[in-house]
Amino acid sequence: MISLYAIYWMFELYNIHPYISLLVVIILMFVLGLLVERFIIRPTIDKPRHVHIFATLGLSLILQNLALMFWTGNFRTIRIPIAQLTWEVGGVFLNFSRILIFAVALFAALLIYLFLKYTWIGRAIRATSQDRNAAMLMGINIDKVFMITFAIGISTLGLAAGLLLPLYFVYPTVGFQFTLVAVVIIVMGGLGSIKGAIIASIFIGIVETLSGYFIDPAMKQAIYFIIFICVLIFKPSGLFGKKLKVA
Amino acid sequence: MLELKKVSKAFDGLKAVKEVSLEVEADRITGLIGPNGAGKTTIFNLVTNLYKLDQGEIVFNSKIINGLAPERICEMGISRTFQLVKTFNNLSVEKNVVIAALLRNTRMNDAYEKAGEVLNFLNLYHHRDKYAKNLNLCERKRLEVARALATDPKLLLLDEVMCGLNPTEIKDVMKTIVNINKTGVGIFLIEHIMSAVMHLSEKIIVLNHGEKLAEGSSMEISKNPEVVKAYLGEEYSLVES
Amino acid sequence: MRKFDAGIFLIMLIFMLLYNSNNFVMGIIFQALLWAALAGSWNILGGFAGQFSIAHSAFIGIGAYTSSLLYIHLGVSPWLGMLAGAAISCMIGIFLGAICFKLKGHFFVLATLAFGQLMLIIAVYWRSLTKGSEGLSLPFNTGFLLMAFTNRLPYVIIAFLYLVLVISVTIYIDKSKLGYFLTAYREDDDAARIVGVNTFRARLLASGISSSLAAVGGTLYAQYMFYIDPINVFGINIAAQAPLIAIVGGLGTSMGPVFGAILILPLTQLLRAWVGGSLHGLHLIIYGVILIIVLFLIPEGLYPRFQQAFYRLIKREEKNAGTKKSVKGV
Repeated sequence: MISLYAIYWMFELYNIHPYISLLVVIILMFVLGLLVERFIIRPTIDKPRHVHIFATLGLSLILQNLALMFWTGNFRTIRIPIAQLTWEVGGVFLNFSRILIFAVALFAALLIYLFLKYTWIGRAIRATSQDRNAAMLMGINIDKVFMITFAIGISTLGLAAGLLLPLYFVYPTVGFQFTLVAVVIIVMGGLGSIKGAIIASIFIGIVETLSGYFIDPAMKQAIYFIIFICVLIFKPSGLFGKKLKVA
Repeated sequence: MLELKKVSKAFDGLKAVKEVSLEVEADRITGLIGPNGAGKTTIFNLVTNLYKLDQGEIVFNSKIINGLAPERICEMGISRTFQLVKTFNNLSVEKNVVIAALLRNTRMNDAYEKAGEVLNFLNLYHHRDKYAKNLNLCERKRLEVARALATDPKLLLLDEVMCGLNPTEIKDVMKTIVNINKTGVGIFLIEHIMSAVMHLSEKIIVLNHGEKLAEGSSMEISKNPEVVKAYLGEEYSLVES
Repeated sequence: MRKFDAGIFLIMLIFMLLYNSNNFVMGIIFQALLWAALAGSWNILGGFAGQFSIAHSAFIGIGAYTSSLLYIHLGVSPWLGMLAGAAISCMIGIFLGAICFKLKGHFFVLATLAFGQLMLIIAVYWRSLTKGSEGLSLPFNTGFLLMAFTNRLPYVIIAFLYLVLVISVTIYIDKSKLGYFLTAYREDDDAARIVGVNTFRARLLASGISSSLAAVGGTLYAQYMFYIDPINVFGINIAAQAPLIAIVGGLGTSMGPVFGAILILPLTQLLRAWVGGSLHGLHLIIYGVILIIVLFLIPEGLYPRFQQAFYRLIKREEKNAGTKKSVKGV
């Protein structure tokens, strides 16, 4: 939500093209991520479990309603000529910005995958996720790792926002639907598996579009929730996730 | 009473337990020893089904138990303690044991009575109102044993219950184990304190690298060259104290 | 009940009867009692078992819609409709638990979020049943059997009884096998199972109880407002409010939710009345800030803190009285 608003205002006030302003927003989001991790998330790690979960809930309440207060609940969007570009290929309409999003998303996923696999920081992140204490003993600064990991995650939202705004609207609770899809995708793909997340997201994208066309556009959202529930019933650990311990 | 038949378990390719077969007799004290990483705790986790086994069968009193829910296995008569103590830290000592006693004593009053008996037996009764987290390590280990005993098990699995204790405390725990056994509860214990294991166990099973290395009486084990080799380089003395 | 708790109830009763005339204040009291009960019902699963669900709105909504639809279309008394709503909620609560309890920590919470919002979507799009976003208006016929009144006092009394019900259930569970099993699960699932506790079944039971109690509140809300729509009963704000109040008040304690509701509801209702027109969402920002402050500084909740302070105060007074006497004696 924040990144979408940032892109929006940069366009409205300063006339910066979203595909360019997103570079700035990525950096802004990265910094925001660092701050949130340091001040909201880190203090809650040692406290009882509910503190962490509800602190983030409280934070999202505050942010959403600050947006509501300052920018009102009106739906806003921006018009970019290049986003309207559409070609007809074999009876199907391909929209430029959607193709761009697809390509950039794949590229970004690949970048992150390579980052995690080959850079020093990436390896530090993987080590920490496998065994926190061992990583500390190896001299890895756990606090920094958490901050950076979180910040990377948040900054990718900046990237997504820049690409998405021409196609979507922004309003205070816009982040909600994305969060829900993200949850469904992660659980379906399996915890901790990037491969699974990519495959699951493609699957869900296809299902969503097809069901929107064949069943009822309004029930689009309901469909992937139903899938979600089915996954939970039949394979709670997801397609590629680490297996849960108990039978 | 408890039988493992060619049980195997691997974690992401690392074979922790390789086709291990062993038997634990009823009413006796059996020891399970082996160097660190031999797979001893894994065996306990497999028996209580906190880990699912990949291959093999676990039979208890002629019933197959692998694949049953841990609480079912407890109901059938197997209880255990954990290597890293897992007491209900924010609950009182008494409540810790009552929760366990509720298995066989469905009325609250009966459960409290049973808990009192067990706490008394393990000399923890005067601590009953303290929060479990406020006990010292030795007392918390005893609390875990008390909790396990409150379920009236036929077989008690003790995982390094003497770890971290001083010699006097160890002697006390040994006495307690013998007393528990005298009441008809079979004991299967993992332990590194060699003198204790040798002294207590009528049969010892030795594990190394996930495989059964040897089994026999404490005399036979201490003289077994393979066993001695497996332990070479470690500080543990195989001589009885 | 201990002195402190009894004191709270007494104060509440006094307020209820004193402010009989002022409609606005009665409204606040009603909301406070209603939300105390709703938070209390959430607390059964959230506090005792540590399973933090934000699907509570689903059950509130099911209760509201069930009784309302039965009343509008079949003329069934809301009292009976309430029971029907509770029964349906119970089953759905158990179903939700059955599929979500396998998930750990955050994922459980997010899954319940997804479920709760799924209910919202269903309510909005199943126009033939719920009239979608338009909402349902309940007829203004008043009467005890119809659970509809012109005066606010009966509502307040019913809400109070509802709260008493929820608290009684909570206290009963706290001292029963179920309560023990739930806290054992919360402390250490593996250890609990190893001593024979079927933690899955215990949680299912708790979920069923929690959701059926929530549905009762939903019906009460519908009857009070004479109007319900998807956003107001299934929305995320509703879903987050029950846990919020329970946490701020005191997770896992019987009276915590009451405390939380008494503190928070009047505050936010007043805020809404004063600035709601111009500054939308301010009261929610305050909610969020209070939540974070409490979580960081007083994670166990306000009720335990106040309780400790209260008893310390009593002890000090008793001690002072004691010394005075002995000085006199000498």
